[in-house]
Amino acid sequence: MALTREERKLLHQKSKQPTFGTGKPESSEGNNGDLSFRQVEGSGTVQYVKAQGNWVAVASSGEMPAIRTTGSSSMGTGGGVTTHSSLNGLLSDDHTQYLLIDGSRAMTGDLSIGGGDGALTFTNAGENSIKIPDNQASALIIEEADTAYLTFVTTDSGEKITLGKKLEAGSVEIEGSAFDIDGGDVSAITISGDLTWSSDQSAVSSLSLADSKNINLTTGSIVFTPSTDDTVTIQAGTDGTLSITTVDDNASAGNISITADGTFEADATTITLDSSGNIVLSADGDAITMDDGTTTRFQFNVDDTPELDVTGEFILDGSAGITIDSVGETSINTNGSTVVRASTAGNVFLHAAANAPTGYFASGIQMKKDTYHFSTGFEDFKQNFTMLNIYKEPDTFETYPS
Amino acid sequence: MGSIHNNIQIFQIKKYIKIPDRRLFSGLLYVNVVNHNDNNSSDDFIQQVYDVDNANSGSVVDGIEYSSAFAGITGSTANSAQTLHDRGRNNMKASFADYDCFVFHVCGGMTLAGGPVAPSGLTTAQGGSALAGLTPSMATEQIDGSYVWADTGGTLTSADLSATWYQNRSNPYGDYCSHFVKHHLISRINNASGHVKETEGSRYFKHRPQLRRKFTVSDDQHYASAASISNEYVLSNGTYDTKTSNGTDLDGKNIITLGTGNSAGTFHDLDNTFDGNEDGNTYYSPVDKVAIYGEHQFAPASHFSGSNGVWSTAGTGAVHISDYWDLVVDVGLRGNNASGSSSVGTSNKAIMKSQVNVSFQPFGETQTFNVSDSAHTS
Repeated sequence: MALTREERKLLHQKSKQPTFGTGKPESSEGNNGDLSFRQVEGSGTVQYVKAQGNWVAVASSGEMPAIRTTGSSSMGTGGGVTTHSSLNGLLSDDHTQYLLIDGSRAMTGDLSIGGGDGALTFTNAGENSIKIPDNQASALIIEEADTAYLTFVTTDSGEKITLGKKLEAGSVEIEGSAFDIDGGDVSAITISGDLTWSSDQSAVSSLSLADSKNINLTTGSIVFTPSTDDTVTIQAGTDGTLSITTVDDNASAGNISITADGTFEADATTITLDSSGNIVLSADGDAITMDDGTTTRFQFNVDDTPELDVTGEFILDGSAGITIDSVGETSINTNGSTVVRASTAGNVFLHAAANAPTGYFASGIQMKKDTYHFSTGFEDFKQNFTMLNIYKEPDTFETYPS
Repeated sequence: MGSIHNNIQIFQIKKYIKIPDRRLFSGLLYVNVVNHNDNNSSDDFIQQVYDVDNANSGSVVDGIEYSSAFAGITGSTANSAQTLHDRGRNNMKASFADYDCFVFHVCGGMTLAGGPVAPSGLTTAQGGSALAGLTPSMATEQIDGSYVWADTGGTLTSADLSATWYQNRSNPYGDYCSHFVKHHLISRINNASGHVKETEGSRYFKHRPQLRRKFTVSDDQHYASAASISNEYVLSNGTYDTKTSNGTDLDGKNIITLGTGNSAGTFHDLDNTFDGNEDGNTYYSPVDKVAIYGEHQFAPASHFSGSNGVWSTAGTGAVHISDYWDLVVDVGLRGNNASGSSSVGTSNKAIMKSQVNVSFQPFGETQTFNVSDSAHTS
């Protein structure tokens, strides 16, 4: 009657179990690959393995029996040790192909662990570790095929762990006291604490934000230190005040320059320009204007014939004296007529008139500096009255008798 | 009449007032001159000269002592034989009294329209060849055909070549330009009109009057005959008041006093009477004469060969300005004796430092005036 599947399975399992007996087994016994432990006289317990139809003694607790290549024996049935604990020399470490649980025998080949979850488990309550060799460029590589996921480099002074694949930390923190992210692109980062550069970051060429994003500070400043002890500070204060302060440590060259590729507008309730030196308004368009919000009241034309145009009643109101200082002539015109003209010679003419002799300026009244000369008249040939006052001393004279 | 000694040596200071051609004006001209050495307080000039001369045995410098304005040269009487008279004003610091003030009415102007006058009857030459052909020759032809002047060696310019040159002119080259400036002395006041040589017999102050001329007829009729001309030679006008309007004598708070008051009669008022002694009008006038006239730039060009010459108003260097002229206010100050000896010489200094103020107030056809210390050339 044919064996059932379970019977065949049990029979197969049984066939793989070592057999025990006395004397060398017969070649007719067993199959290639079977093991049999035999009590052989003079040799003790001898381990046989059947190969190529012959039983070969591979180990012995005593002297190895003489190798015989022929003959077969059937498994002994009498006198064999069937209980492992009954074997002699169990503590003898003569099976070097096996790992020892105390870890004292190193692996000589690759270790493949076919277990699943927990296939490699450390159970020591204290320190557990995997030690890797020192000063090796690839002390340990965790890889899939030849694709490294994590490489431990123990090269002296170059020790590091190299990630071969993306590191996803999820919600856990990555912390360190000397944490260095060097190179590459950090595509997104959220910093909940201080961001501190402990040293000059000369290699940082720019710090850019995505469109419509902000740098939000509540207190503190943005401080630039472009050179030693020279700073530029942008600081916000209570009520939204803003100050930009430059400091030139050893000079006064902390200049501020604002360049607009378009118009520049300062809109405030009050605008104050407070300069310890000069204030320069430079208009390439030759016009500087002032208005009251709707009407231009002053226009300074700053071309090569500078002019101040005023709309409205114009008053010069001085708390002290008012001086008009010119190198050339000074004139005051009313409705196109010269009413006051001060010449470069220091002469003053009032009320321009017609019909003066060639080379002279006709006026109703004239006063000349050098001779204290006062004239009034209608025009040449008509009703002129003059006062000329002249002073002179002789340039040579006798000494007064004394 | 007293002695006349017209050894006039004065030191002129002039002011030139530029006026357009043919503008009539009429106005007042004031001339004030005062002894003024930075207004230092000094005794008046007469007293100071006396004091220095007397105290130092004639140590007044010759430039002052023998100046024509100060020294009296009276025929055979040598200056050294004369003595100054003590006016008794020592330490009165009255140099301020050495003033002379004039008020003139000045009228007129100048016409320049007539221009230079071409003389007739003289030998003329025009062009290089004609000038070279004169006797003596005034120009020499060069290899290149140009001509050079015989006196300067300079090349004749185109103006020289085109000008008419007159030879051997015997009279001054004239023109028809003329000033018609007249002046009338309205008043002259100084404190120097009281010197009397005859009674003092000493070195004296020499007066020089300012002429005032008047043209009159005998009554208010239309006369066809010549007017009578009367001249006045004015040394001074004016009087000092020595009493108030109610007849009270002025005293020390008003008027200078002479003497010391140490004894009766030695302390008395300065007045304007000639009592022959030491009182008023015996101060010094720094002014000899004031002249007022018109002048314009007119200078023909001339070249010479020996004592012979040619003149032209058109040659290079000739000047004739016809659009303006100068009214000259010529103040003749009393001059020194430049020789530095007992003989009188031509003055090269004023006899004292004085301050001259002139005020001219013309009314008329122009208000265009420029004032200079020298004649205007532009």
